[in-house]
Amino acid sequence: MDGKVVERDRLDLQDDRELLSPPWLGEPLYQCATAVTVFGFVPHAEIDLEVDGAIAVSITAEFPEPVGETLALSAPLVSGQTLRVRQRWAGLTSPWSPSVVVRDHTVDYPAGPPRPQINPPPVLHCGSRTRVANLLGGGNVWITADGAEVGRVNGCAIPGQGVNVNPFYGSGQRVRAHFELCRDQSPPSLEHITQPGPVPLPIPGFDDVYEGGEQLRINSIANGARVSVSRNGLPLGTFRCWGGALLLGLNPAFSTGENLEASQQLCPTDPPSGTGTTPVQPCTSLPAPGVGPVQAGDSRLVVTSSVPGSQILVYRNLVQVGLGSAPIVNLTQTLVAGDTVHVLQKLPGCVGRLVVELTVACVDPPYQGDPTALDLFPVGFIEYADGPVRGSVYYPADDDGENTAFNERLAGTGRVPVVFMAHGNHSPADPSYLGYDYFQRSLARMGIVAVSVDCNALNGAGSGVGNIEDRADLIIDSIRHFQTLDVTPGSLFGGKLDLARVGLMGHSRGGDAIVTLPAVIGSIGVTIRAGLALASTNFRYWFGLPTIAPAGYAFMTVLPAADGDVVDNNGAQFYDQASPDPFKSQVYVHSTNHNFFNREWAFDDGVTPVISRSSHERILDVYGCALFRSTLLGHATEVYLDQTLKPVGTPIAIVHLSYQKEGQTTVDNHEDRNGIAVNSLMLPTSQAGGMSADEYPFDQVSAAFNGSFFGLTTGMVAQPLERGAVFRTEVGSEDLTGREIWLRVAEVATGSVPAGGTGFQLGLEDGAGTIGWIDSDFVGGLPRPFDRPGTDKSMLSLLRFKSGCARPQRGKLDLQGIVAVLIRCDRGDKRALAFDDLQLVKP
Amino acid sequence: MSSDPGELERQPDRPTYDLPRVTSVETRRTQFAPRRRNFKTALPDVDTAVEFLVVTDGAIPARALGPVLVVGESILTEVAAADDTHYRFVALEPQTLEPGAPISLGWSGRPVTESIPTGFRFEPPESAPEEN
Repeated sequence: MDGKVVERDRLDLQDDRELLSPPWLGEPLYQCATAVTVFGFVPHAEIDLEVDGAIAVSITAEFPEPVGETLALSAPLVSGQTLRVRQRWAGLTSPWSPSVVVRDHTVDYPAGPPRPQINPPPVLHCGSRTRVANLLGGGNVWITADGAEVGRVNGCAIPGQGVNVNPFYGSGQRVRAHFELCRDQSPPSLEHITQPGPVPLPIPGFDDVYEGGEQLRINSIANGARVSVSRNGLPLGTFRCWGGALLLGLNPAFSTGENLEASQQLCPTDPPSGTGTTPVQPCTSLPAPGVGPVQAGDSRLVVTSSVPGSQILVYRNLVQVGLGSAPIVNLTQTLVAGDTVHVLQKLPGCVGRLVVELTVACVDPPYQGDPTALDLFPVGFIEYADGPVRGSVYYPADDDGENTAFNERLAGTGRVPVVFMAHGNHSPADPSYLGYDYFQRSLARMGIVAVSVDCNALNGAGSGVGNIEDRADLIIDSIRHFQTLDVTPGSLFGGKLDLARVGLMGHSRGGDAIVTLPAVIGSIGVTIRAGLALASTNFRYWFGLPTIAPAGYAFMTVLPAADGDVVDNNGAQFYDQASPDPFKSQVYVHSTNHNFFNREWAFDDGVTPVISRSSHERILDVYGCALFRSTLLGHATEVYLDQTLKPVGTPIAIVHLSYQKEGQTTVDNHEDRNGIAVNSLMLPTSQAGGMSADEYPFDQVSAAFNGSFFGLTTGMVAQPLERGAVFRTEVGSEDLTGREIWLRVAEVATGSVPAGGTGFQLGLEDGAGTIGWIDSDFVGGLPRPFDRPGTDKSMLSLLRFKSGCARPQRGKLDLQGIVAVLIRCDRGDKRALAFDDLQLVKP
Repeated sequence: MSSDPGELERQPDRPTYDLPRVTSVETRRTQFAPRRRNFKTALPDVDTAVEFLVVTDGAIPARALGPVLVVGESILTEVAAADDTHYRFVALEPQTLEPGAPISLGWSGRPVTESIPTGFRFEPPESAPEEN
């Protein structure tokens, strides 16, 4: 939930002077590592590293940011060892961090370590330092320019390492990063060619500097530039920087009235930049830190913004429970829904006057990880053609480029899965099949062969179910083509494709076709594991045929809310009809259009202003990779679909998810034709307090509640006639300990979108009649309808209620004997709410 | 340094999905027996389908939705384009076509009320079925 900033003096915060949070180890730890990296300590703390019960290293750390503290080990790690760390500071000793077991990297990466990344790119002529990312901690990293080694660090940090370059990069050199662990070498990084730096170089800027601070962040630095820094006119030296920002530790701490200056230079023969300068601000200006979402069950706090080198103090219900540093502070207590949390930052001699205050939500998942980030292999690509069967294919390769060899080590571990993609209808003059290259690359570098089928022969003004079937037919032809290549000796793909692990992605009419395909493909030795229908049409629905119900594979649909072509977001019909085998997912995205997911489709068809084309691509990349990694590679990336985690770098605020997984208890999906008075468990429901709830088709039919429903299912619309109206549905007697109640819900659109949000409360009633309530605002809130000109839509999305958050006004709720779930419309605005798919779920 | 207040960029023209004018409509009986290479179609084999040969004064835009011919209460969604101005819509249930019914051109999935009247009316064909 959003926090607010309050004055510290108005709070009775109780410091725990014995408290020091444990730091944490950069994970995972792998055998052969000769160094480990520690984070989350307070500046200048003593760090103890314990290996198998004995302290192996003790050092005085400097600053926790930007890269933690990397501790060199006297002996390489061995698989099975356990490590933990603690910190000592100001006479205090923290508890030990949780133990981490050393693993064998060949178990996690049987085809070799991930390829390193030069990040940030590009590399510049005369650059003196480069950061290499995507590393396994404690390995060896080095950089070559035109094949010659120009920099190396053995025992690298995780997840990235700065490498000094000597001599500086020359003009037009081919630069690559390399990595090894246990003498197991990864593929080299993508090749970068050195470019001229900007002329003139930008004047360095500064983040705000505060009295008491000990670190100085200088920004706008060119990649590999050397930065000369002065303090009150006194030169402090020249520092190499990999680019972006340089974060220096300085001694003594800053005082008001001081002046700091910096300039940067690339080639010694070129003039340096102009000089940037900043004053030191007084302690009273020190802001409150920024913190990430907090939810019930958290035992750590994510810090999203803070002054470098600051200590972060965390209070639960006014009592201190954490002292550490950004980006994560471990807490001594687990947070409970409804707790009030205060967070402030502190510099030597300066305690922040401002404090961020927030309430712990029942559900507010953290931002953690990125399903697109898995980068293991170089990517090869090639066009294929066999008469009308044609397209492009991207694959994991030994090196980047067209027609490069298939990755030999990956092939040696077994066959790899394949995703077939199909574009939709568009001008045949445009090569639409080339428009998903970004997504194909993402999948290929993870170890998935990604084929994009050229369906242009079917594009134009022809239309109908026949056109969709033609597309499915053409995709099957491509599948057969790759089946043939797989059994063709000497083929690039010979013996390498696992057609028992096939995914499908279709855009627009292509989405319609990939939904058709699994229903018609028959037994040809192919198993469809997942299908993604993006901005899909549904021509069978328009023809009058039954809509295909996706079954036997994981189904996902992405629905652009501002789609100016497929106005009805027909993909929602497939979601509503799909079986969760093993799950189904719907991604409804505000401010996105039909075309921008395909790089060849130039026009913005959006009916409102839309997010950038790159953000469209990011949406498909994130959720598509989460789907296919989960279903084809067995990775635990469905956590980004079921709202367990939020992916970083994604415009989450406009993404509204629905999700259902197999094997859960459905209390009511309203599909039983048994009326509103009986639920799907064949148990009774009741209404009280002015509730008027009934079942309606969520479809574009005259019997719908209104014209705002675009799916293909039956659901419930609850119209409260009075504040506090209640709908009650019985569940027998269920033990909901540790379980969640999942419910799809929407504010019913009724014309212009009213100001201000609405919500409701979900109640759990035990056998004694005690009811505990959870407010929808406590689980993320009820999304507002998308303000789409001319077409109102009530698009449902999933809210997850943790049973443990239910709080009765009096007494104690017996979660082991819940007999009913209640919905209370308590907002007083009397807005109608739409509900569907009430489930009791084991997380 | 002076600050630029900026100027809101006008949203580029959206693709236009305006339908062309229909200049003629002819009907004829036909057989409809679509064949797929890899599976059996969900569409029925029909010996007595009716084909509407529609000529327009311009191309129908290529988009996700498809053109439909609305013949009275019937909506014909199956269409093949011979070229930019010649389209063949097929009615697989010709018995539902009402002689004299007005014909309009629209988009699949959009309300019939949004379809554009052509000025033509359905006249049952006299000719014998032709091979599709």
